[in-house]
Amino acid sequence: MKKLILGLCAVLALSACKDEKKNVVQADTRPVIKVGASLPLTGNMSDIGISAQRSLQLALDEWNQRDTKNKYELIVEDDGFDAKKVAMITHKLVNQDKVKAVFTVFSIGANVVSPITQQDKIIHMTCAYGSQPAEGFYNFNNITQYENQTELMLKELKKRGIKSIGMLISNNIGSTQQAEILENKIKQDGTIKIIGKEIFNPGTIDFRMIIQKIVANGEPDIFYVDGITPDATLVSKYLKEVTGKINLTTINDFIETPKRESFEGLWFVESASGTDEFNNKFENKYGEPVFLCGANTYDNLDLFIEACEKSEHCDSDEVVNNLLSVNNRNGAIGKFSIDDQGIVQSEASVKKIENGKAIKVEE
Amino acid sequence: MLLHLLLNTLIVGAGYGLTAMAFRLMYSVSPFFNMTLGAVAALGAYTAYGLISLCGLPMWVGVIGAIAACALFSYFLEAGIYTPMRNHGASSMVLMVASLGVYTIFESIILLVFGPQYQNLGSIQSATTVNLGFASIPLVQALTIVAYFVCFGFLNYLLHHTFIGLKIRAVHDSASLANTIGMKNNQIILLVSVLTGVVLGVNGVLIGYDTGMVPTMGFNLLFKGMIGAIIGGLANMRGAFFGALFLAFAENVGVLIFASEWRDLIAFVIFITFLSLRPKGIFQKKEIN
Repeated sequence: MKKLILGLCAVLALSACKDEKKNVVQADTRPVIKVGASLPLTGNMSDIGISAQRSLQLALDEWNQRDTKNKYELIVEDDGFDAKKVAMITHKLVNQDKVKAVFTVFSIGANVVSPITQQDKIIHMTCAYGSQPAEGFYNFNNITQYENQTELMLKELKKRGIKSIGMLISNNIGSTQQAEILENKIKQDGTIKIIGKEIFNPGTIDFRMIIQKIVANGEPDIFYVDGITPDATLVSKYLKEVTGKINLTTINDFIETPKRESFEGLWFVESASGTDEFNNKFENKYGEPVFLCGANTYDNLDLFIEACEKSEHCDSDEVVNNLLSVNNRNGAIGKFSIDDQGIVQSEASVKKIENGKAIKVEE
Repeated sequence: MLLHLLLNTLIVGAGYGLTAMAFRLMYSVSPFFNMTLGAVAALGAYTAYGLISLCGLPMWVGVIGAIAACALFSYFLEAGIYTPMRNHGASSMVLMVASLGVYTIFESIILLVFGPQYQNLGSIQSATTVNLGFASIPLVQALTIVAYFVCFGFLNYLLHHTFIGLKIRAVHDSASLANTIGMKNNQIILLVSVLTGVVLGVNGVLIGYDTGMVPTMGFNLLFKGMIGAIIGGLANMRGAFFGALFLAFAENVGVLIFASEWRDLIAFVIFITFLSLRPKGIFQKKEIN
């Protein structure tokens, strides 16, 4: 029995020595920089959340293959598109995981995160509508802004000879704000008549009476929808049932879902999104197309790591200054700059759905 | 506009009505707010999606398979969870909490298996339509209306013209008295759970073809069905049938008069008004002294 115990001890001692040696060989002495993300990996916006998660991983993998000063670790949490969960996750990421930066998509999450990161002096980079997500020194927003998108939408409507429009808007902060800006622009311009504007609650599945109500005042040349998945799909279904045709346009909604057969041939305005090079890289790796905010989120992490590498200790103030100096950079969304408010300046474009893909409409 | 209003009331009401009738049927023998009924309908939609869209089986196999799966699921939920709990003296509140737990587990399983994305059976743009003169509706919506009337007729016949129906009504009227005279209440409840599963399975498949599905679909579906059943009155099947129509009509009128975003608010205002002023619903049961 004694021999057996001694033997076991010897084996354990040897294996411990072996592990120790192995650890010495593989030890990475670089400082570890943790970054966190609060994304909707479940719920209606999960396609976009998962796409953003993959984009972050793609950027991280590429940086980890390079000879960097720091080692980067990514912590992704599912917020289910719920503001309360976003708040809990952000506190966990900041206080428990001690992350240097937080990444989000959409204003529901970004508006919750930005005050927390501002207070704790942590970098926050998002892809969300409105100026609020970028308020504060440490917050950055990378999405083509409402003004730019709605301006292009109005220009395209006029170019296509549209005289009347019906608006179907989901009752969420991003959609209602964007629709309000578009509505004001249309009214100021005066060449297009708004036949009707209906706001519906998220989760609405029956649009027949809503469309009937607008059509009762005269059938508009085109309907505009702004909502969250699957609103545009269901609106297109009911448009066909009520009016017999799908005369529908949107800003971004057609590319928020992988099921795009309902939108085949329809034109829409898309905020600056993935270049062909980035889209192909993403699709080759994951076998699925990148969704709204995917390329922007890739650029966000890419920009952060680059700024962090340039700084001495990856201190938040140094990183912010490096980020604010970005000008005419070529990224996954194409050419962009960051203004002194921390807002990425990029251009929207007119696209149409062809064989399920968003193809740029030539001028 | 009036014709369109009535048509949409019928389409939406038929969807609510199938759930309302299933809820009322189950509630008549097992009186608690059974959250898993929503899960059963979601199972119908997702099983059909799995069999038809993912496995490539013929549509009729997928539809029958989905309805059978719902009947079996409903049976096993009753036999495996609620009957043992009831036998141990669990109150309605405990049963409701248990059903909430089962619903949450089920929703998570759907999420894991099928993912969180919106799905639909076949193409969302229905190729086959039924022309009504003033409007044409997709075949699946016409089938929902047919299912609504057939289901109402069948359940009414079963409850009022068959021996099984007599037993179900006996358990509904007084479970303890039915037990005292030698009726096997648990067997009746199990039979009703299978029937409920079939009705919800049909509804789930129809919804899957019409407006598509998300893992959380069960809760909203059950909630509207339950409101319809309570407005109409839980005393009989007519209550569920007309209550669902009334709810759909009120919602649609609300959209026309007020704004679309008020639709759910209208449903809940009506629900609370009925609970306060007429808690037994439109079709109250005559009390015999």
